[in-house]
Amino acid sequence: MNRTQRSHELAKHALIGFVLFFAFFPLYVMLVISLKDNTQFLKSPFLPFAPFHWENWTYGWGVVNNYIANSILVSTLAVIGTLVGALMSAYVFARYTFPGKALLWYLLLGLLFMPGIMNLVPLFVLMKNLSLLNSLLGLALLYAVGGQVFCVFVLRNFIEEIPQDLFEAAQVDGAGPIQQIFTVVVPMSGSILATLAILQFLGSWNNFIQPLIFISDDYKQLIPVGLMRLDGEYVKQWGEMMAGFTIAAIPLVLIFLFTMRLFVKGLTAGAIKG
Amino acid sequence: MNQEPITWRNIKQTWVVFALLVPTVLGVAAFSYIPAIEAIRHAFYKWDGQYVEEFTGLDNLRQILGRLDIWVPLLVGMVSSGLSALVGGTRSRRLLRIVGLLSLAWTAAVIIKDARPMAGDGAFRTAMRPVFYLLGGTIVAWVVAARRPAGGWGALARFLTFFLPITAGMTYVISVTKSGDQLLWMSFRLIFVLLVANLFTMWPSIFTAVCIHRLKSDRAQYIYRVLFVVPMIIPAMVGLLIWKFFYDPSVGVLNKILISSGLDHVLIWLDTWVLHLGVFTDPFRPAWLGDPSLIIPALIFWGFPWVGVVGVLIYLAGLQNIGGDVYEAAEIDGITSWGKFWRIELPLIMTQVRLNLILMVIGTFQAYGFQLILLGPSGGPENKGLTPGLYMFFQAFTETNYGYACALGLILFFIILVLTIVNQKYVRVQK
Repeated sequence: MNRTQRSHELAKHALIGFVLFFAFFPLYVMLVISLKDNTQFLKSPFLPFAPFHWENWTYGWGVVNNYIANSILVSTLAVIGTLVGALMSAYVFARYTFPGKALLWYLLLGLLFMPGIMNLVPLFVLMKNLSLLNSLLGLALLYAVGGQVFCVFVLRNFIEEIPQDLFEAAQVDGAGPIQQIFTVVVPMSGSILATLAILQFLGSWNNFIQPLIFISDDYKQLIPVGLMRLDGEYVKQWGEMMAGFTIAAIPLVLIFLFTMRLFVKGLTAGAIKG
Repeated sequence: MNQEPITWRNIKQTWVVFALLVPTVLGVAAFSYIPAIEAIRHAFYKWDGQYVEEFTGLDNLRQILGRLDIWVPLLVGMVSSGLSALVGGTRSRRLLRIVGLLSLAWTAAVIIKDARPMAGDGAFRTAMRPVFYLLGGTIVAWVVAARRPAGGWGALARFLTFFLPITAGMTYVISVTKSGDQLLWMSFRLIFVLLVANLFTMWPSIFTAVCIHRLKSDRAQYIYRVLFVVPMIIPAMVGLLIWKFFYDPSVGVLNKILISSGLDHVLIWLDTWVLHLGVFTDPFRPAWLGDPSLIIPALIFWGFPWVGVVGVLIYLAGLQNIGGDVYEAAEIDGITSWGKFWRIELPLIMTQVRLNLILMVIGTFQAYGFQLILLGPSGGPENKGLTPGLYMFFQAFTETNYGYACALGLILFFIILVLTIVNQKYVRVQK
């Protein structure tokens, strides 16, 4: 490597470092402020110094633990619902032809372009009539349906690329459609299922409008709305608030720790592409 | 691959296959299609969600759009000339084009009849000026389109001959007659500004991906890829609230950085002598999200340096498909760094860029959660941060005008549909 090449490499690293600095800055701010009380915060918000106020974390946990439990419940149910439903229908769309298939497919795909916001008002009334308002299960059902279309779309393309012989072999052994899904499709599509599951989990975890509208009791509320209420308090205890924020991020940290490899692979191997 | 045919005749053996479809179809029908149909129906109702539900015909639309006698022919003209560019057959194309021209002519006639009595009025003439500029532009585009062959500038000119007269009509209804829902028009103006800003803020993600891709060491590439995933662990709401804290007038980072770098004096000087906004004063404490003239700049600056984590990973996936031989051949030809970017890398990730562009446009039109959290349902002081979606939310859940909100939704749906079709047609990539 000669001199100009090396300086080019350095320039690239510097640029990427600049971008990464901004990407990580919120994380840093959150951690540092979560250990300060208000006087320390006002004196110097961004540099860590003793004494560290770990009691902020205890307080923050007390505020957000309920929201986190609700969010975990709803997001997990939503992921399971989405993937089970999407796997079954993607399998049918990929493997069979039947009258009206094309129409059904376009009706499904059309939903990708329908502004979700148009549905919001009638959906609210529908949920009220089904007495699913203010119910975590109702919300999970809604998320599971909302995630369907995208997952069906991705999975259908994927299942169509699985070699035909595998299905035929399974059929010869007397496997019906359901056994074929379990013995052929699921083992073959591990990394894409993981990627879709994470995307869906993130989507449900971050969704803010629907819990705001559909959940009214505070003890049933999910994490995004809970955090927003924490931020909206008049006299802010910055340290306690940031501790709450940090704790709210921990479940996602755990998930990413275990699935990072699969996720990076799934995204960059072009699992989701145009 | 071969697909097994299933018909209604052998349903007794194959009902399982249909049963597998039931959850998705039922769920989507119940929670997506029924609400959508209800929304379209209630666009023509006065509705508060529980007690009042009465059919009022076009009242909502009239209140939103204003002059329906101009809008209807204008939209018919727009849709039919738009369709004429998309359909295949020569005869139907010619028919559509004639219908389009006739409706646009009809629109022009209505406007002329409308404007005639006021022609002497000075203020009216000033207001009409942009309309005339747009019509003049149409004539120029027409001449260019007639001379140039199809493709490239010719295609652009042809698109403008269709686009400019429609814009002229809209300008007349919205800014000259000042009819319709002014808040909605204001929100569209905001969307337009945000879209233009997004055209610039989409580049850093692409540059970052290219930078990572061009690194010599594979190991460094992998490490950066992982590092870019890590910030995703911050819940979206937390990221948002932290940025809100950055903008805080008294304890926020942004003002501290501006003050410590001395830029505050520059801004105060600019405001005193050039901009005359009266927002940057001594002591320097601008409320970025509380001052009407700072809201739009604050929304644009949001998320600096605008690098989307998922975007970078998707671009990287596209870049990895470029074979090493392409680079080698280009290097023999003595290609520069910029040339490599414009000639090799950008064309090869065009699919992803296009997809992101479409999602960005549609997303900008639908966006409202972000503004709701930052500025509240009315879009902040003087409604500066009001997007169409947020306005719909405001009408529905603050004012309980559900019918009116549904009508707003219908209009939004129509716009997004048109944008999607235009996107599919004009932002196409050569492979």
